Order: sequence, then C-alpha cells, then structure tokens
Amino acid sequence: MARWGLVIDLDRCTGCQACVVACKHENNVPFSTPETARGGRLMTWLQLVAADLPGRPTASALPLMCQQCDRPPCTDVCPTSATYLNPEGIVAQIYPRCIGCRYCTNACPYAVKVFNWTAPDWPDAMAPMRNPDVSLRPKGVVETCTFCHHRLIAARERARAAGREIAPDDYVPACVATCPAEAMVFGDLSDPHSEVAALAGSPRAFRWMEELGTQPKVIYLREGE
Amino acid sequence: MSDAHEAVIQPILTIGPVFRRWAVALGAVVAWAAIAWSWQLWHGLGATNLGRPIYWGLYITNFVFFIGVSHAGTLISAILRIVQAEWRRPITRMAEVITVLVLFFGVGNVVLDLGRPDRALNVILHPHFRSPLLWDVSSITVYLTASSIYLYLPLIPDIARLRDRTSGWRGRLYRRLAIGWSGTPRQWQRLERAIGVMAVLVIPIAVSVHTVVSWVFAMTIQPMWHSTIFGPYFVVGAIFSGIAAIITAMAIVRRVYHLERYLRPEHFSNLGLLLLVMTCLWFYFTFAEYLTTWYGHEPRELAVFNAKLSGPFAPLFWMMFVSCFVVPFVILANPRTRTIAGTVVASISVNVGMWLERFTIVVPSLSNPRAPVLTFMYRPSWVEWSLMAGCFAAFALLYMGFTKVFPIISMWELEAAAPVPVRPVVAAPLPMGVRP
Amino acid sequence: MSDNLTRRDFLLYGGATIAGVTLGELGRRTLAAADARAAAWPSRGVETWATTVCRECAGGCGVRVRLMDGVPVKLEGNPLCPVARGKLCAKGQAAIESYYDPDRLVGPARRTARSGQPAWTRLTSTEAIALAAERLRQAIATPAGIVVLAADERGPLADAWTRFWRAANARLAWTPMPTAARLGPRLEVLTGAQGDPVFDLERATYVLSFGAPIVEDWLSGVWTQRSFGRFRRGSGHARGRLVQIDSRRSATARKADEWLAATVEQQVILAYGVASVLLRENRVDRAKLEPLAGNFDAFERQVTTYYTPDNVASATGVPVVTILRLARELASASRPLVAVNADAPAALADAVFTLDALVGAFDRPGGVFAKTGDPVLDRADAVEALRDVAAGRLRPKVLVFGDSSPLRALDAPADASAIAANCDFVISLSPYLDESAAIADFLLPVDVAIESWQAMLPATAVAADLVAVTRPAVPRRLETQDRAALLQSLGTAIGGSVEAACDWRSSEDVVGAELKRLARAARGTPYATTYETNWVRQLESGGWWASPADSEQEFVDRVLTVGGWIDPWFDPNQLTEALHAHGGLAFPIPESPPAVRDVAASPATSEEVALAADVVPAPVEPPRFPLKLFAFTPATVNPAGNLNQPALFELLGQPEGKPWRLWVELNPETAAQQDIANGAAVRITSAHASIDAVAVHVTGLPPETAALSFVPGGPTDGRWARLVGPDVRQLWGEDPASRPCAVRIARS
Repeated sequence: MARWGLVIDLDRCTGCQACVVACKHENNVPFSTPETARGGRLMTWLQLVAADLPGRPTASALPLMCQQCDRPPCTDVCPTSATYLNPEGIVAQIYPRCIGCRYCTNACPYAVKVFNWTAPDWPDAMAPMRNPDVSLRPKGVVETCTFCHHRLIAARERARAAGREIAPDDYVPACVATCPAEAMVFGDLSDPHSEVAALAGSPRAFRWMEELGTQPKVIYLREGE
Repeated sequence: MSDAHEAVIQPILTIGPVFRRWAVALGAVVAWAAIAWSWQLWHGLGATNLGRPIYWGLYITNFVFFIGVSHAGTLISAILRIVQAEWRRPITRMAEVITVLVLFFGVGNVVLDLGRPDRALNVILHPHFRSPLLWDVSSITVYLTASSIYLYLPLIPDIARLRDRTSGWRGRLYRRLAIGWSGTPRQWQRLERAIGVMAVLVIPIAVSVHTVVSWVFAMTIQPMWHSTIFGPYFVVGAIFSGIAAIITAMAIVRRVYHLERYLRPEHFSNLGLLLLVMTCLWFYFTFAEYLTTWYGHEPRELAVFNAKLSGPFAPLFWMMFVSCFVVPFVILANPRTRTIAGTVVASISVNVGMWLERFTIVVPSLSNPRAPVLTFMYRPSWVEWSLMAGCFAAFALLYMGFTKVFPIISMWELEAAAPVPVRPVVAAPLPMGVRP
Repeated sequence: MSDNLTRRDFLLYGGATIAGVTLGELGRRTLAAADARAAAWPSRGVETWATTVCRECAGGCGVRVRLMDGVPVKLEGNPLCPVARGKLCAKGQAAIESYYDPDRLVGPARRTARSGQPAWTRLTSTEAIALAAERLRQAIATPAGIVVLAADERGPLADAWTRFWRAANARLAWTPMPTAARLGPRLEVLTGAQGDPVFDLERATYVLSFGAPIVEDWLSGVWTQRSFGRFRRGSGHARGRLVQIDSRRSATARKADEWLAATVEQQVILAYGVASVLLRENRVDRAKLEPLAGNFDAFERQVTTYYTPDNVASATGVPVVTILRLARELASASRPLVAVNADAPAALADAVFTLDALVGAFDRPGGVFAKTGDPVLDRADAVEALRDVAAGRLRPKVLVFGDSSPLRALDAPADASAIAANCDFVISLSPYLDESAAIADFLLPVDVAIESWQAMLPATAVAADLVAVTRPAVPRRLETQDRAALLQSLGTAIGGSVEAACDWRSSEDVVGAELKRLARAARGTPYATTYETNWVRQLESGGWWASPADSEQEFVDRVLTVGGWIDPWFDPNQLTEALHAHGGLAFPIPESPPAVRDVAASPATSEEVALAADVVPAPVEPPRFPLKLFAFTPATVNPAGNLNQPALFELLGQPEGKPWRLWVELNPETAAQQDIANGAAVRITSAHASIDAVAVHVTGLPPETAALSFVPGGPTDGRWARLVGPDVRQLWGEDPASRPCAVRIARS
C-alpha cells in the first residue's frame, strides 16, 4: 500500500501562493471577508506562514497544510472517530459524523484544522464553480487538507478503466499540480524509486516539529546553501 | 402536626413575594439566554467570537468551572460523613444539591460548545475510547448518576415526613419519591448502609471526574496544557471552588430562610478553615506549575507564560491570583476576620478567581499556538455572555426551586446527631483554631 | 386526591407534548435536510477540458479549463504550452472568479444621471451599438476627437483593434504592461539590436537584481517562477545565488541570499559603482569585449573616475567592502546575470545592460539574449493621455476605455471627475464596473478571456516564436460582446473608411486568418507533447520543419485544440550580430560624479527640506512628516485586470498573517520610537489625508523610509474590492504617486 508524501523545496518556493488559490478552488473552501479573517475565521486548507526555521536569520515563508502525520495528535482525541488515519496514511474526516467539538483542532500543533463557524456561503453567481468531486461541508464541522483524496479516487478509477496500475503521475494534489516554481513533489514515500523518497533522504530534508513525534508525511527541504 | 424543624419545613411550603420576584428576574435571564441559544443554533458557532486558533473559549471555561464547583458537594459531604464530622449535618444537603445541579450546567456547556449539538449522540453511537473527551463523557455520566443517588438517599426520610403533612400535587410527588418509607428499623439500617457505600464510592468518582477534565487539556501537546500535575491541580482547584460555592450558598440560604439556628458561625469558621487549607494547596500547585514552566524556558511554553504574566492576559491572571490567593488567605488566616461575612467575601472572591483561572488556562494556550498562524484577541460575544449568564441564572433558579420542594437541611440527620456541641474539625493542629 | 387527569391538565400536557415534538422534529428535519444536501453533493458529472489563454498579464500562459457537465469549475496550466507547462500562478487561477464575478456588468447600459448617484439603464446591444456609433461618427471629423485607451498587447486581435481606431482617426494610447518589451528600447540604445531582451534566469548561476521582482511577477510570471526554481536548484549546476537590490524588502528580497536597501536612484549609482570596480580590478574579459568595444574606452575612463567605491558608498550608504565584494562575486561567477525590472527608468536599465555587457552576459547561456522580429512597441502611454485630458490639454469628444482600467495608474483619484468633465462622452468596453467604467456614459461590456477567441503573442520569455490561439473555452455567461464583432458592428454603423477597415465579422475571423497565415508559413508546430520533448525533437531535426499536419484544416483544428503554435528555432547570436552591425557597444557615459542627494526630491516642501538636511544637526522642532513613504502593489494583485477576486485578497499580507490587510513596513527602530509593535494598527498621515494600516517590522529597511502596500481598487470594482481598504492614493494628494510621500505614522 502506498504511503503518500509531499516534499516542498523551500529553496525553490517563491511564496507566490498559487498553491493556496489552487487548493481553495479545488476543495470548495469558502471565501472570507476582512472581518471574518481578522477574527480567525479565514477558511484555508493551505496557507503561507512565516516560520522561524533553524539556521535562517529571518522567518521563512512556509506553505503550511495538514502535515498528514503518521502519528496524528488530532485523530487520537476525536471522541467519535470522525477524523482518522486511513490505510494509505491520509488523515481523513467524516463530515457527517463530526460533532464539532474542535478537540482535534486544538490538539493539532500545526493549527491546520479549520472549523466551519457558519454555513459555507458563495454568492449565487459563483455557486457553479464549486468542484462536484469534493463534498460541501455543513456548518459546525471540522475540515482539513486531504491531499486531494478525491483525485486519488479519480486516478484509481481511470487506471482501472484503462486496465493498468496507478502510475506516479496519475495522482497529484491541486497544489502540486499548479506550483509554478516546481517546488512541490508528490508521490509514494514507500517506493524507493520515487522522486519524493529520494528527496526525503536529502540532507536538506526536515519534517516540521518532528520533535513532537508527529511523524509528518509533508517534508520540507531547507532553504540556503 | 407540629415539627421540631418547623423553621426548615416552613420555607418549603410557603412561597413569598421575594421568592417570586427573584424567580421572575432569574427566569427572564434564562429566557434571554434561550433566545441567545436559538440564535446560536441558527447561525452556528459563528455567533461566538471564537476563531482559529482560539477554538475554545467561554463555554469550555464554564464547563471546567461548573464541573469544578460540583466537587462542592458530594466530595465534601462524603468526606465529612466518612470522618464522622458531626458539624457537617446541616450542610451536607446544600452541598449535594449544588453538585447535582451544577453538573447539568457543566455538561450543558459542552453541548453549547458543540458545532453540531444535534449529533451529540454520535459520542455513544461511534465512541472512540482513545479520546479523553470520551473518558469525560463516561466519568461525568457515572458521577452524575452516583451523586444523584447520593443526594436522593438521605432525602427519603425527609420526603416521607413531608408526605405525611401535604396533599395535592405535593402529596402525590412526595408519595412517589418516598418509595414507601415508613421508618422501620430495617429501612433505617438499609438506608444507613446505602449512604455509607455511596459516600465511599463517590469520592474516587469525584476525583476521577476532575482529573479526566484536566486530561482533556493535558493529553494534548499544547504549551502549558501538557502538564503532569494538571490532574491533582484541577482536583484541588475543584474542591477549592466547591467549598467556596458551599459557603456562598449557605450564607444565602441562611439569610433568606432565617436558618441562623442551624447554620451557625462555627460552620462558616470550619469551612473557612478548610478553604484556607485549599488556598494554600492551590497556591502550592500554581507556584509549582508556573515555576517549572518558567525555569524550563522552553520557548513555546514561555510564550504562553509571558502572555499570562505580562502579556495581554496579565490583568486576568493577576486578578485571578489576587482573588484566589491574596484575598482568601488574608481573610481566612486571621481568626478575627474569619467571620461569616469574612468567609463569604473570601468565598465569592475564590469563585471569581477560579473562574478566571479556568479562563486563563483555556484561552492563552490557544492564543499562542506552536504554528505561526494568525491569532487574535478573543473577546466573547454577546451570545456567549448571555448563555453564561443564563447558566448561572438557571442554576440559581433550580436551586431556589429545590428549596421549595425539598428541605435544604437534612432534618433526620440533625435528629440522629448526638447532642454534642458543634466542634471545629481541625481545631487542634492550627494555632488560630476556634475554641469550642 | 385524585389520579384522574382534568381536561385542563390534558390539554396542557398534550399541547406541550405536541409543540415539543413538532418543534423538535422541525429542527431535526432542517438539520437532516442540510446534511442530505451536503451528502448528496458529490454528484459526479462528465468532466471535460477546454483550452484557453490566460489574460491576467501579458505572459500568455496556456490554460486548461476544467468543465463539469459543461460548467467551468477550475483553471489549470496547459501542459502543452511552453510558457505555462501545466503550471499557473495565483492570478491566473483566480481568473475564474472574474468569469463568475457576481458584480460583473450584465450587458450594455447607459448612464441616466451624469452627476451624483450613478444610475444606469440597460440597453439591448443593437440600441447600444447604434447609439455609440452615432457618437463616434460625430467625433471622427474632429482631430483627436476620439481617444482610445487599452491594455498593451501584441497579436492579431490587438492589431485589428489598432486598425479599426486608426481608421476612425482616433488617438490611441496603451496601458503599458511590465514585459520585456519595455526594456527593448534601452537594449537598442546600447547594442543596436531591435527586439526584446530575453533573460536566461534558468541557467544563470549568480543573479544581481536591481529591483527585478523575480519571484513576484517579473516579465512573464509563471515562466520566471519556474526559471527561478531551476536557477536555485536546477540539475547540472550548483545552487544559484541571488543578490537583490531593492528599495524595500520585497518578496524577492526576502528570498534573496542578500538584500541591499537602495532607492531606484541609488541603484543606478550602485550599478556604475560595481562596473567601476570590475574595470579597475580588470575583472572584465577584455578580449571578448574588444571587438564590440564601441565607446568602451571613454566609458571606462569616466566611470572609474567618477564612480569610485568611496563616492558610491557615500551616495548610496552601501559600504565600500560590500561594493567590492559584489563586483568580485559577480566577476567570479561562472554565469552571472544582471537583472532589472521592466518598468525601471531608462538610467537604471542602461546601467544594468552595461553591467551585463561587462560580465559577458550577452548571448551567453544564463545571460541576456535578444529576440528580434516581434513588432516593436513604441506606443503612447495611456497615463500621459489621461493626464492631458484631466488637465484639459486634450478635450476629446469621445473617450474609449478598452478592457482594462487605465485610471488605476493615475495618481490622484480626484483626476477621475476632471477626466469625465473634459470629455463629451465616455465609452467603456470593460466587463467590470471598474474605476474607469464608473465615469463612463456608456457601458458596452465585452467577453472575459475564457469566453473569447484568442490570438496573442505572449510577452517575451521563451526564446522562440509563439502565438497563443484558442477558441472560447466556455459559453458566454452574460450579455457581453465579442470585441472584434463589436468593432465590426460599430464600423458598419459608422460606415466609410471605418467600415472598410473591418475585414472581419468577429474575432473568429481574425483568429482564423492568423491560423491560415501560420499554416501557410509552413514552419513551427502546434504546441505538442511537453515542451522539453518538443525542444529535443527540434534539435534532432535541425531547426525548422514544416508543420506535420496534412491539411490546413487539420492544422487549424490542432492549434485551436492544443492552444497555440510555436516555432522554437531561435538564433542565439542576435545581440552579437547587432553589435557588429551597430559598430559596438554604445555605453551611456556618465558626465559627473554621483550626486549625494536625497531621494525625496519632489519639489521641496518645507518638511522635505528638513528631511534632506540630515547632515545638519537635528532641527529643534521635529518635522511634522518625518518618514518617506513608498507605495507598492503586492504581487498577488493585478492592477491590469479585475480586482474583485476574493481568493487573491486573502493572499494579501501573507505570510505575515494579515489576510485582506494593507500593511506598512517599518524599520523596527523607527517603529520602537513611536512604540509601534509588530502587527499593531497604525494611522498614516500625510499633508493630504490619513489612512489606517497594519505595521510590519522589517529589519534592514532604511530608518527614514516606510513602504505601504496598496490595492488600486475603487468602491465600484465590486463587493470584495470595496472591503479591501482605503484608497492609498489620497495620501499623495496632487503629487505623483511614483515619488515617496512625506508622512508620519503613529499608533491608532
């Protein structure tokens, strides 16, 4: 079984935030307003944060999404197993089961889980641009990056229809697909021949806050020489 | 039929204008809270001022506070019963009622805090036992059951006494609740035994409840939540706020129902001494908790520490420190100020302080997350304040209602007491103890 | 007592039960229905993809539109397009929000109240065209009776636009786009090569950038982003080193290995300072320069005399050691490149190209090439034309706005009313009620990019000839017009030479003609497979080859399907050839030593005089406006397009965690004097206005300066544009916004 992982080369990343927009459109993440954003209600599965990383004089711009931990602190604390680690290592969320207690959001050290404070709202004119592959979340539930899991399902279907195995290029999350600086690489960490596996072994590779024992499957490559 | 405890029974059977006025006022607050809650149900938790990363606020603070206060009762009365402190007799019922009623508001605040209260039962339908929240559900359920039984058992003889002198709806109610109590020696023997068992049983349950509540926080790896002493620290805080709540309730009941004969200065003094002990214990735990954080100098922990001691939460933190330690210690350590008025002031101060303590545990850690995401200054919305006011008002209303249905002082226990004068329970070891 | 229920009790309890059950059930049903809606959502439709071209900037990235049951849901890069190669920037993706923009103009309209509250009346397109044609016919006879402003573009459709208005005797002007074409004239002055410079960032190993917004939006956004990634961590060479010389800590400065704070004027001095060190220390390849020397000797003499490191250091504040080090690093790098922003002033562009010449970057991999052959853009600037109108020097009978908002580039918002007052009639073709459209008398909205036929020449980034050509990717959503068809209808209504100029009926005809031309040219190929593979195939077959299509129709269909045509053959020696023909390099020769002068050299206000005098002991009274404020538009905002895109506003102020906010960057020490914490709300006050912003501490920013982000949006741009903050241009009052503005900043 594949272990999906994402490598982000911070030296290549320009902080252009194309991935942020791609994620927003792909996953039907609702828009904010200045007021809601200021009150911590900005809905985003992927955003740029200024992180102080060891060895850098100033804060680096870090694309931050669910780190898809192998030992996720969020799934342990969920009282209803609405969030759980699926067999392929993706931290999944069963929206109709979530009771909205927000314990997972508080347990996550990366603060990447977001809560639907209100019912998601699009202007009527914009409703058609929602992606039918991704379910709309009702108010009162928690959501987070799924590594565009729907793309995996679609890729599997396509591969099955073509009567072949799923190939590395078949399944790529929206953020990786759009990254203009080619800073993001996605693939199967358990495949020793994959590009992600090779990059994850780079001396520049680190997992953010791995000292907490979360074992993330998002791997960053350090900026600088 | 006249009664030796007519002073206890009379307030049950008569409802005066003062009671009505208070009931209407508190009822209005509760009604307002009901409107606020409907508003929140309709708009979702967007009606609060919570946001990322401050996902928990006033409701969870109230939850922890109410669960803490619930230790008032059962735990205190059970301990005093087990150690056979004779002076406990007039106050146990008062304490037990607080426990049972306040637990509903503890649980209720969790429901208020849910994004999907309609799915609350998923906790039972799809339980995940690795979640401390499920431990909470389990232990609070057990505690609520146990303390309800523990409240009910000693009520039976008193209910039977009321049954015998009422008719109408009261008569029907008391008849059902008295479950055929006729005061035979066999019944008395069974009752004493059941009470004894429950008193022993309820103590570990009560300790577990607040320990588990603390573990909701301590089991995460968030800075200043992830602490090994949180269990005992929360239990101590709970007993602390519980005793303070009893004293406050005692003073009110004494004043309103003119029960000066039953609730004597010695009771206040004794409970005051207990409160003093808890004040010192609370200080010890707080000091230990903050000293280790500060000395350890772990940056993320220190960020929360600084936010509390010198940052945006400093006013709340120092207000908490003053009202949880300085005020009660100064008042209670001095026998001359350990009067009824003194202990009541100290108790109110402790209750305010303990609420602030819960707030400064919940919110500052969330306001300073490890990840550098946008944070903001959390100020609860009108809905949150309204619901909090509603909870307190509803609690007071229910407590008042209880006094109009059941005797707030356990009559049979008073009668069963040996005719010895009330003695201070911890007089000897303390130099400033009250002389009998 | 009785256990019987009274009737009253029965009604009470029964009623309460029914009410409770009903209310509970209603609530449960509402929630269950909401859940069912959410659960029923993933109804998979039929997925199709259509090709189009991004028009958010001049880069010409190929775009794939994902359609579910024919409804567009997402934009992605076209993997066949050599510019985009399957990638797309934030702005490019947000273009779908422009298509769905709830505040887009729904169709033609005319203003019914010229002053006060705008009131509009809808028109049918027939009425609208007849009315507009009437106005235009009256204006044609007058010289400069019609002034036409549009975004600067290259390609057959833009040519058709130009032909039409020239036939109508219109005065044409364009809103310049920040493309390499703008640097072409400067390259020509130095080398004689008529064409656009091509910066080979990807293969460079060391980049000295004079304000080039490399990681933001340089020349061709997606192309540059990819080149930067490969420059940093490409295979085949060591990690590229970037030194950014910029007036503020831009995103590029943040990414750079070293950032030097210098204003544009100081950057020129610094460039010559580096040149002078290269020459003094003999770090230029004289053997290579010799045959192309031109006026090299004179240049060397003057530069080494005037731009000594000491002079440069005192004029720029950059220490002598740093200047020496920069020059030595530049000279010792294997493939150094000196880069500059497209809208740099001529002096800076000249200095940068001079440095490129000295380090041997011309016609060298990882250096600068020239791409000749594209039409030279020597076009009137729309901003100048607007200033003329605002000042009353130009009083057109009809003012026509194309599909962009040239008013955004103006300094003062007050100009808008002056422009409206000095024109008899204003027509806007913009699909949005932007700042320019808001002063129009007549709205004739045209299709947005993904609804349109397209044929454009992407801004020079690729060293190849290419044309991005597509048919509409999605059906028209509102009552908008095809631009060429609109022109044709107007032409028919006007008659005469204007009608004759329209040899098309719609954009489809213009695009079709272009495709036929490409087919007949018998070279190049439709975009094919991935760009890299194609390139190898081209090399293998030795350059050009006839397009593989069997028939013209097959070729046309193929190009429209894949989204463009490319001829990757490129002569990498065009600069050298031009230099030989031109008689060598024509260096700009400095005539005097660098002036130690203050950057805020706008005609002196008393405050600024006080500012300039920091050599003199501190004045007794502190100046009222002690800070020099620069304004900049964040890279995620597109001043040339629709501003009403919420996804992009959320990107503002990131990664500092200030979404939707305007922020002002301050030196931490300057901020500390005012007790302004990082992230604190501040009020910026100039002599003209005051606005609110959020402070961001930036170490290394000169202490007397501040940099303010701004979104050039007006309240009419739409619901989101309205939310994003005050019009920063007010601060400048009547002064040009390109100059720093004297302000004071305090906590609010």
